[in-house]
Order: sequence, then structure tokens, then C-alpha cells
Amino acid sequence: MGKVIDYFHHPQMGERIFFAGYILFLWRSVWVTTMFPLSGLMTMVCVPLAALFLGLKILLYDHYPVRQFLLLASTLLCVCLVFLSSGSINPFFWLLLVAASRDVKFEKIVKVYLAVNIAVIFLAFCAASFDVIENLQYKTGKRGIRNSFGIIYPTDFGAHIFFLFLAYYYLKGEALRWYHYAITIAAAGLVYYFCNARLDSGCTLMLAVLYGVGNGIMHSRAVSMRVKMKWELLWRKVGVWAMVLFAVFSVLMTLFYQKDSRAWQELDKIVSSRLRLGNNGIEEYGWTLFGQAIEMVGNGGSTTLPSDYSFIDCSYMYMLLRHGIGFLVLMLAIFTICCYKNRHDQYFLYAMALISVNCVIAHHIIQVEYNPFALALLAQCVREPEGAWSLGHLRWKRQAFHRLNL
Amino acid sequence: MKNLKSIYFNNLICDFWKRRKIILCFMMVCAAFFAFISVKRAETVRDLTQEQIEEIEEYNEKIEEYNKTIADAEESLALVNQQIEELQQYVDQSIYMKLDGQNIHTASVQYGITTEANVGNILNALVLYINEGGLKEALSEEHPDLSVESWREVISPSITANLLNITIIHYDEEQLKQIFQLVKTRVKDQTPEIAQVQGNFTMDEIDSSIYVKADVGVTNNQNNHLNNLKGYTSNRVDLENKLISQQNNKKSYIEKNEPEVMEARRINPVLQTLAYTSVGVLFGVVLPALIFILNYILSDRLRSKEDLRNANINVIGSYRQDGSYAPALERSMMDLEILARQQELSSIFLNVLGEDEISKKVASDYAEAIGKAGYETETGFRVYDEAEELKQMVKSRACVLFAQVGKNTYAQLEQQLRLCERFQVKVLGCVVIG
Repeated sequence: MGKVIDYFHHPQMGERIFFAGYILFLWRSVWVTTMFPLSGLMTMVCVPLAALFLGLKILLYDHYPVRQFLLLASTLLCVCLVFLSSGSINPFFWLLLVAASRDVKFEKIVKVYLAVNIAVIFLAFCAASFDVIENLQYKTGKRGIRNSFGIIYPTDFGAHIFFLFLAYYYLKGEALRWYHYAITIAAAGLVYYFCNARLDSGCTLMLAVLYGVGNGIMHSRAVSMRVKMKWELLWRKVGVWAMVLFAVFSVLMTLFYQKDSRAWQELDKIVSSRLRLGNNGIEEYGWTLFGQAIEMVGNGGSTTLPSDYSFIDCSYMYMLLRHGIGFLVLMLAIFTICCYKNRHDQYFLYAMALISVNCVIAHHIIQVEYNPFALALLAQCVREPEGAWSLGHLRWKRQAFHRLNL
Repeated sequence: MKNLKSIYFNNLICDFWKRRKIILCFMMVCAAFFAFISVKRAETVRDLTQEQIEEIEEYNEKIEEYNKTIADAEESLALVNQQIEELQQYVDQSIYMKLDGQNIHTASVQYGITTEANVGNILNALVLYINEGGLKEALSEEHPDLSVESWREVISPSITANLLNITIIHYDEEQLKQIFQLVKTRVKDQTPEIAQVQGNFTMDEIDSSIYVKADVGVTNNQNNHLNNLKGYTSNRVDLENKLISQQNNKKSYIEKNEPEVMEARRINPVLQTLAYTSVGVLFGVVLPALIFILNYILSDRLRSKEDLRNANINVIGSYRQDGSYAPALERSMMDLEILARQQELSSIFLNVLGEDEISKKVASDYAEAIGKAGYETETGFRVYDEAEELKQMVKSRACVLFAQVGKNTYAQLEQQLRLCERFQVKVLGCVVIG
């Protein structure tokens, strides 16, 4: 008995319980996005067990300061009301993961995310190549054949690739080299060629450019101190608010969309009918505080495309219509606090800015199998303010003082 | 130091090699499982009854029929959309369609031709000039507001004997006057060109007038165009309805009639089993690899001396579970002696991270060997917490770390390295136990 109690008092026990739940949940979530058959048993076992582990971690090992507690409690209340109003359970699991990740190293969370995702996607890719599961191919007139490579839809495959590279880049940070950028650009090209996933290949390309430019500016001697300081200040001031800015932009664009205007129609064509579908959603269902049940008919899982397609892909509009204004505001608050907490870490801000752009078109904002960055809210930062990043920061500040003879 | 703990592929391979028997068994189980699934699927396909095959064929034919009808409807819809767009553009933009049948502004001019050449040819040349483009050349850029492209319908030249009559109709009086003036000027300017080909002639304006008239024919024509547009629009609605109904029919047909077994394709059972088995083998490799990697990521305990070597820490030696040293203690001592001589040391501190029996034994073995080599030794087990031990280590100026695999954590090791760095104690190397 004493040994069991000792085991539970082990300093790393909380973290272990968290990862038990996280890995189970993540494995099942990634598996669902593949064409591998999903047995009911897997859902029956993985989801409740994951919830049990995460709940145990919160109840036995976590204690929150007042502010964090208030934020989590209000989000929990909102999530419960969302469940009652819309029947959607996803925000609850998302919040459970966010709350349970307290004091866990975020670096480990991202590494586990990478390992599980790469393993499942690699297996799905190989199985589809060997014709063991279906490689869904969509023949489209102008866009050629779009492959899914064992994932339920080509854009979902593209999204997996983008988020995997994003997580890897975030961990690598200043250790990124030219061949990393070259591989990423090649991957973006391949995703575009084989899947025709324009958003995800574009975002993957932007990822290479942003991290390349960021590293180029911050670690090059050729760049002046003034530029370095301005770049850092820009990200500290604006990068923190990236998601809020893109959310407001998306909602306003959808709101002001005019069906009869040719200019709006052209813009809508560029974003693959996101504006029209979002606007239809607002007209048909209206806004609510805690969401509503909306039947989303989307593509994926089969090559037979539905005739009555009505899926709101924009994450911000999806959250607004499906989970309500209350949850959208709290979710944005959580992501913004994550950014504020990691404002010393530019790589985190780059990642969040890219996710914010991606979420204007795609709906993966609270899907942890794609986007694990919300877990940074309570987890331990990858780069502490006095860590590697600020050392670099101090180094060039010191050089500046030296030049000014201070 | 920051990268003390990382995932190294050679460590992963070592792990695989160490557990090769279990992994091989797991791979075989996975391969057998997938082969079994393959055989079951092949059996299902092979065992199709004639009735099932007919059902699948009938289903596929019906789906093909639906697809063809849907494609036809989509094609017709595209054509009708194009027709509507063009007609709508005409209705919205042409001068003719904007005319008010009861209030048509009209301008008319008559010219008399005097010539010794063939008057018919000259008049025909002038009519051609007015109708077929020469008149309108370069006007659309000069006067974009006059809708030059729809003049053909509103400017009507007619010939009687040696007379040329030009009539222009318009909905706006001001624009009518402007067009009228332009037509007159252009026709006049064209006469030398025609004279060069047809022979000399003179063209005199006999009369010109501007007035308002009513013409039921215009209203009738306009109504005909609008009726055509209405017809196309209702045709489009019919086609859209047809498309939706065909799509719904297809969907409900699929829902109701899709055969349970759809694989009527020919399958090579050997190739399929091979493919399934290969994927099974992949599962057998990837899943253990994932478990090892997760173990690396999540476990904070020291895994192997290779991890330390990869982090650029000098591994002096290791103590195996069978009680032997690798390399032999004497060989490790040579390294230590050289290092101690380089640093001009007289004593070496043995910093042991564990207090268990094996750690004490290994530390005592090393202390004895170092003593024989002529160096003083001090041993500490709680350097981080005990001030006295820390003082001794600082006094020695150099230390050897003793860490045990599976017990000591990377965090402990990193803490000790930082402590040594802070007090400027040289770490000569590390002895890995286990």
C-alpha cells in the first residue's frame, strides 16, 4: 500500500497521467482523420479513458492561481452551456486538455504530438500506397486529380503536413538551417501538386519564409540593431493579437459579403466560397451566445461529393455559429493569453500568426490532432525569458550598448 | 548542455537491437493479422454469388446512368447560363431596348447623288459604309458614352432612286443629336474615298429633321427579346430542378441500393496478401519505434552511455550488470591520469549521484584505482545539498560523475554539470553504471 502511495506521490506522476490521457486522445483523434476503419471499441475505450486520466491529473495534482482558475471556470461554464445548447462535446475535451496541461513541459507536448502524428500519418500513407486502405482521389475539372494519401480528404492531408512542419519549426527555432527550408518548400510544392491543397501548401511555404526571414533578421550581423529591435517590437506588440485581428477580419468580411456584387463574388471565388457559406450560415441560423446544433454537410471519407454541401470551413465563423459568441471570445482570450505568456518567444508568435491565417480558411482551430498550441496556456514555456532566446536578445543589446560606449 | 537529452537514431537502433526478439515477434503477429484480414477480404470477393455479381453490375450501370444525366444537365445549364448572360447584357445595355415605343427621338437626313457613273454602286457603297463598320471605326474609344456597338439597330440607311435616306432613333435627344452630327460628318468625309473607286459624284443634303415618333413595332420587338429572356430563365430553372432531382435520386438510390459487397473488381490474392503483410510488417516496426520514442521523450531517466557521448560528455567507463567494467578499469585509469596530468591535479573528487550499493561499490573501485595511480580522492554522494562535500569538490578542482542508468535523471545530471560550471570545477568525465 505504501508503495502505491509513494508511486502516486512521485514528482513526475502528474505529468505521466497527463501524457497517458493525451496520447490516448491524440492517437484516436489522428486515427479518425485517416481511412483506417475505426472500431467502436477504440472510441469507447480511448475517449473515456483519456478523459479519466486528464480529470485525475487536474483533481489530484493541479492547483491554479485565482486568475487562471477564474478563466478556466468561466470557460468550463461556457463549454457546459455550449454542450446543452448545441450538443457539441469537442470544446469540452479541448478545455480538458488545456486545463490538464498545467506545469507540463510544452516541449514534451509538441514532441509527443509530432511522434504520434508522424507515426499514424506515415502508416496511413503506406497503407494507402499498398491499396490496403483507400487513397481517395477526387477528379476535379480545373484542379486535376487530388489525392488524400490515406487521409479522409486532400485538404486534411495538407493540413497535417502544414501543422507537422509548424510544430517541428517551432521546436527547432534558431537551429533551423537552409536544408530545413529547402525540404519545407519542396513539401509545399508536392502537397500542391498531388493534393491541390492551396491553403495548406501556401501556409507551408509561408512557414519557411517567415521563420527564414525571422532567423535571418535576428541572427544576421548584416542586419542593423534598429531593424532587429523593430522586428522584435513588432511581433511583441502585434503578433500577440494576430488571432484576434484575423478573427475580427474574417467575421467582418463574412458579415459584409454581398451576394450580388461582382467584386465580392470574385473574392469569394478566391477563398473557395467561404464568404458565401459563412454569410448563408448567418442568414439561416443567426448568432447565439452559446451555439446551436447546425448540420454541417462536408466532403471527406468518400469520393461521392454531397449535393447539399454546407460546411463552414472558416474556424472563426464555425466557432461563432456552432459554439456561440461566448465560446469564441473565451477561445480567442485563451490563444491571446498563450501568445502574451510566450511574447518573449518569437518562434511561438510566428507559429500562432500562421495558425491564425490558416484558420481563416480551415476549421482546425480547436482540433488538437492538428493544432496543439492552445496547450501552451498553462504548460511550461519551451523558451523561458531568461533562456536561449533572451540570451541572444541580451547579446545584441549588449553590443548596442558597447557601440554607444555606455 | 541544453541538448543533453535528445532522440538519436543510433540509440533507437540500439533499442531495437536489444529487444529484437520481442520486436520480431510483434512484427510477425502484425504481419499475420494483416494477412488474415487480406485472406478474409479476398474470400469475400471470391465467394460472390452470381446474384450478387448481377446486383453490383446493375448498381454500377444505374449509377453510370445517373452520372450521365447529371453531366448532360450540367452541360445544358452552362449553355443556358451563357445565353441568359448574353441576352441580359443586350437587354441592359443596347440603345434599342431602352427605347420608349411611344416616345422615340428620331433624326432623318436625305442626300441626293449626282453623277455620271453608276449611281446604284455609289449608294450601295455608302450603305455598306454605314452598316458594316466603317462609320463606327475608332468611335467607341472617342465616345464611350454613345454605345457605338449597338448603333447597327438604330441607324437605318435606305435608298430610293438617287436618294440616300438615313434615319436614326434613340431614347435620349441629346445623344441622338450628337450621333446625328457624327454620322453626317463621317458620311461626308467618306465621299472622296468612294469617288476614287466608283467615279466622281456629288452628294447634296436635301433635307434633315429631328422629331419624336411612336412605333408599335419597336415595342413588339422589345417584347420578343424580353420573352426570349424569360424563356431561357424558366428553362434554367427547369434544368436546375432536374439537376437537383437527379442528384437527390442518385443519393437516395445509393443509400437504398448500394450492395453490401462492392468489390467486383478482380483481385490477385497473392499480391493483395503480400501488400497487406507488408503493411503489417510496417505496423510491427512503427509501433515499437513510436513506443521507444515516446519513452525517450517522456522518461527523464538516463537511458544509455551513448546519450551522454552524443551530448559531448566524456564517458570514462561503464559498469555492466554482470559486474565487469567496459573498458577495463586499468584502461579507464589511463584516460583519467592523462586528464589529471593535463589539469595539474593532485586530487580528484568522485561525485556519485546515487547512494545505493552498486554506486558505492563502483565509486570505491575507482577510488582505489585512482589512489594507486598516486592521486588523492574524496567521494561525495550529496554534493548539491551538503556544503562540506561541495567544499571538498571545489578544493579538488576536478571531479568524475557517477550516474546510474534507469535511476538518475537527466535533470540531476544537468544540475550537477551546472554546479560544477558555477564553481569552476572541471568535469573530467562520467562513469555510467548499468
